[in-house]
Amino acid sequence: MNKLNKYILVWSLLLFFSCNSMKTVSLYDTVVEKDIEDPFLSFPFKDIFTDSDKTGVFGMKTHPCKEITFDTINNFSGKDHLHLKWEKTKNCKWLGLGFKWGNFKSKNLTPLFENSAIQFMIRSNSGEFYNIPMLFGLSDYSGKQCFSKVNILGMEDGVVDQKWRKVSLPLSTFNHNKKGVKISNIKELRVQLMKKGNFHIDDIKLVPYNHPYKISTETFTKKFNTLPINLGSEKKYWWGVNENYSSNFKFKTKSNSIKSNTTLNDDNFIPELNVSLSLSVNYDSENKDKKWNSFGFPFNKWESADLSEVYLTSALNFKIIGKKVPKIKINLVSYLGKPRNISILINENNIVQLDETTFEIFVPIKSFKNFNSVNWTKIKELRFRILETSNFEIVDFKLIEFRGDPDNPTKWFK
Amino acid sequence: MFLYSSVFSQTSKVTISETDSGFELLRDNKPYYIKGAGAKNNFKKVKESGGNSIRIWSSNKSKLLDSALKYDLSVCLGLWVGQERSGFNYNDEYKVKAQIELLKMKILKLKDHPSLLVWGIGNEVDLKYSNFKVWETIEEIAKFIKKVDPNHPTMTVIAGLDPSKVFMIKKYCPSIDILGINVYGSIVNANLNIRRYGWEKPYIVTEWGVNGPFEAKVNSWGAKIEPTNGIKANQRLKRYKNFIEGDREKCLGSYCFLWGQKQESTATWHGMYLSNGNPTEAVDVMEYCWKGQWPEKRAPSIMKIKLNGGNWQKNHVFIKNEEVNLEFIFNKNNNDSLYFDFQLYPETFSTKGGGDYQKSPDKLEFIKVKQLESSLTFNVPNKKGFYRMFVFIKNEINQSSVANIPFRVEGQ
Repeated sequence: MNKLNKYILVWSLLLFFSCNSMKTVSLYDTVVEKDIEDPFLSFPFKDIFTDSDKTGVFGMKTHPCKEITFDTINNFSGKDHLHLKWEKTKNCKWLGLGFKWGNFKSKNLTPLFENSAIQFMIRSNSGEFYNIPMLFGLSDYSGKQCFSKVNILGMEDGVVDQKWRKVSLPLSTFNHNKKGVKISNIKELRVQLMKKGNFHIDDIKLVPYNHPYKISTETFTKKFNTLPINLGSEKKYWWGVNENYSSNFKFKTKSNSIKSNTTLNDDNFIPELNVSLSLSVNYDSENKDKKWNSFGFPFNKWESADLSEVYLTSALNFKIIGKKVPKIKINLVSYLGKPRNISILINENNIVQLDETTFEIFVPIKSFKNFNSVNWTKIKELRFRILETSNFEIVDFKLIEFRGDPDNPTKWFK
Repeated sequence: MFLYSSVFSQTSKVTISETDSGFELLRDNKPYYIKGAGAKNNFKKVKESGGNSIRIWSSNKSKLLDSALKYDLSVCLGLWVGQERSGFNYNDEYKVKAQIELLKMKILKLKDHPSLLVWGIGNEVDLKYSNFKVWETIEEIAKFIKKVDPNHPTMTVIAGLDPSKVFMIKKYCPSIDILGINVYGSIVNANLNIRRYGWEKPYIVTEWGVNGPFEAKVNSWGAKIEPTNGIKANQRLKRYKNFIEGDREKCLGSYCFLWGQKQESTATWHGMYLSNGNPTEAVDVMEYCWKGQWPEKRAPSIMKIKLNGGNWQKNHVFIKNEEVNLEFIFNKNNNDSLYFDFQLYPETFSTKGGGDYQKSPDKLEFIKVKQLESSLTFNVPNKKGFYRMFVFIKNEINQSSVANIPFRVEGQ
C-alpha cells in the first residue's frame, strides 16, 4: 500500500466511524416544560358570596329606599341568597351594598384580569330585563374605585327573568386605568343600585372567562410630517358643487396640471394623483341662489388630519385664473377643540400676480386668527366662501412650506 | 304584553316614494306628512293641536308606543346608541357588540307595533366625536332592521348638518333611508345645506325650535341671554312656515322640540310646557302651524322684559339688597283675567351640550316691594352672586308665558 492509499484508508475509516457515532439532534432546542402555575387555580379568593354565614356583606341596613335581606326561599345553592329591593328617589342619592370578599384581604387581580369574570346567578321578582340596573365597583386600598356594568353578552340567554340565570362580568371591562385603581391591591366589591329593582342574587364568584372581542387603538387620523400636501384632488370629497341645484360652481378637470418636476411628497398624494381639480366659479351676489356661495373639501378624506408637526411652517397655496381675485373668506375647521373653526379674509398681501389672468395665493396658517388655539391633531376641512359677484377658476390647492412673514407673505415676490 | 297585541294587530306599512316633485312618506299607501312633536307626555294635546306623530329618543319606555296609539299618533322610535362624548368607546368591541345585540332584541320586540312609523337609530352620536366607527354600528343596526322589518324606514339623527357627517353616512350607512337633522339656529340654512353637502335621500327635521343655549349670546359674566317666550313663539312660527313647510321636495316632516319641559341652561329654554305642566304659547303656535288656525283660547305672550328700564340683553349689576324695578310687556291675547308669578333662581352656568342632563337649581326667596299689572318692584338678594328673575303669566285655564332676565349682585 503506498502512502496515498494509506492516507485514504485512514480518512475513510475515520469518516465511517465518526458517522456511525453521530447522534440525532433536534433542529431546535427543546423547551423544558415546567409546571406553569395557573393563576386562576392558585387564586385563593374565588368565592365572593355563597351564603350569609360564610361570606360577609355590608350595606345591609334597611333604608326607606332599599331593603336587602337574606332570603331562604328558592335559593340557587346553599341555604340562602340575597334579595335586593330598591327605588332611588331624591332623598337617597347613593344606594348600594358591598362584599368583604375574602374578609377584605388584599387581592391581586392582575394575572386574572384578561381571562376571568365575576359571575353570579340572578332572577327577577317579576318581569323580563335586558339591563341589570346595578353598577359594579372594584375598590382598592387607596379608596379608588373602578366600575363596570353587566351587558347582554354576559347574560345567559340575554335576559333576566324569574328563572335563575347566569351572569358574567369580565374583569377586563372594569375601567381601572381611567380611574387609577390599583388592580393588584383590591379590597372589596361594591354594587351600586340604580333606578329601581327587585332582584335575587346568589353564588357570586370569580370564574375563568374569555371572549373574542378586543379593544383596538384606531384613531382615524393621518399624521402629516412633510410638506407640501396636495389638497382637494378628488371630487367625491368635495361639497358645494351640485349642478342639480346651482350652477355657481362647476368642476373642470385639469389633467396633468401638477407638473412632473414638482417635489410633492408621494405619500401625501390622494390616489387620483394626476388629476388636479379646477373649480369654475360663476357667482352673482344678486342672483336667486346667492346663498349658494361656499364650497369645501377635507384634508384627509373626511377623517382627521394631524397637522401638528407642520402647521407652524406652512401656508395654504392655490391659484386663481380670472380678471381679479374676488373677496374670499377661508375657514379652517377641526373636529375637536375650541375654537373648532378659524377664518381669514384674503387680502392683497396674500396675492401674487403671475400673469395677466393668473394669481397665486399664499395664506400662512399663522395668519389665521386664534390659530394657536386650534386642535391641530384633528383637522377636518377647508371652506371657501365667495363674497362678491365674480367669474374665475380656482385650482391647485396645496399646503406648502412657508417660513416668511405671516402678515405679508408675498413681500419677497414683489 | 303590550296593549296593541290584544286590541290592535295591524302594523302599518311605511314606505318612501320618489316622484318628480320629490320624496313622500306613505303610511299604508297614503301620503303621510309628519306633523310631529318630540314628546314623552301630553300626547292628547298633540292630537288636539293637529299633530300626527311623536318622537321618542329611546326604546326603554316602550309603553309610550301604546300611549301614542291611544291618541292615534305614530311614533318615530329612537334606538339609543352610545355617544362618544358620554364615554362610549367604539374601539371596545365587547361593548359595541353588546350594544348591537341589545338593540336587535328591542327591534324584534317592537317592530310590529302599529304606532311605529320610523326607526331613529342613534341621536347626535356625531356631537364632539372623533371615532367614526360609530357609523359601523349605525349601519349594522339599520341593516338588521332591513332584514327583519320591511315595514318601517330607517333613519339616523345628527346634531346639525355638516359635510363630513353626510359623507360618512353615505359611505358607511347605505341601509339608512332618511337623515334626521336636529337644527336650531342652523335651520335657516338646512334646506340649502342638505343639497350643498350632497344628501340625496329624504330628511326629517327631528328637532327644531328656538335657538339653543349653545347658540345664545352671553352677558359680561357668561349668563346666557334667553329671549322672551313671545319672541320665541314668533320665531317658531316663522321657522315652520319658511323652512320646514318650505321644502316639500326632500323634507318628510318635522318634530318640534320640546313638547314638554327640561332644564337646559334655564328651565324654560326649549320647553313648550312649564315645569308645572302648563302649556305655553309655543303650543298655540304649533296648532296654528298644523291646523292652519289659532286655538279659540290663546295663552298670553310676554314680548319684553326689563330691569330698571334696561332690556334683558344688558348687563344688570346691583348692590346687595337694592330695590329694582322689573317691567314686562305682554300681549293679553283676549284674556280677561291673568295671573302673575315671580321666581328667583341662582344662575346655573351649565356648559353641558347635546341635551345632556342638567340639574335644576333651587328657587330662592326674595322680597317683593310693589306689584302692578306689568311691573314688580323687589329687593335683590343680600348676597353677592349671579341670579335670574323669571316672570310667569297665565290665564284662567293655565295657558302660560314666561320670560327671564339675568342680573348680578355685587358688594356694599
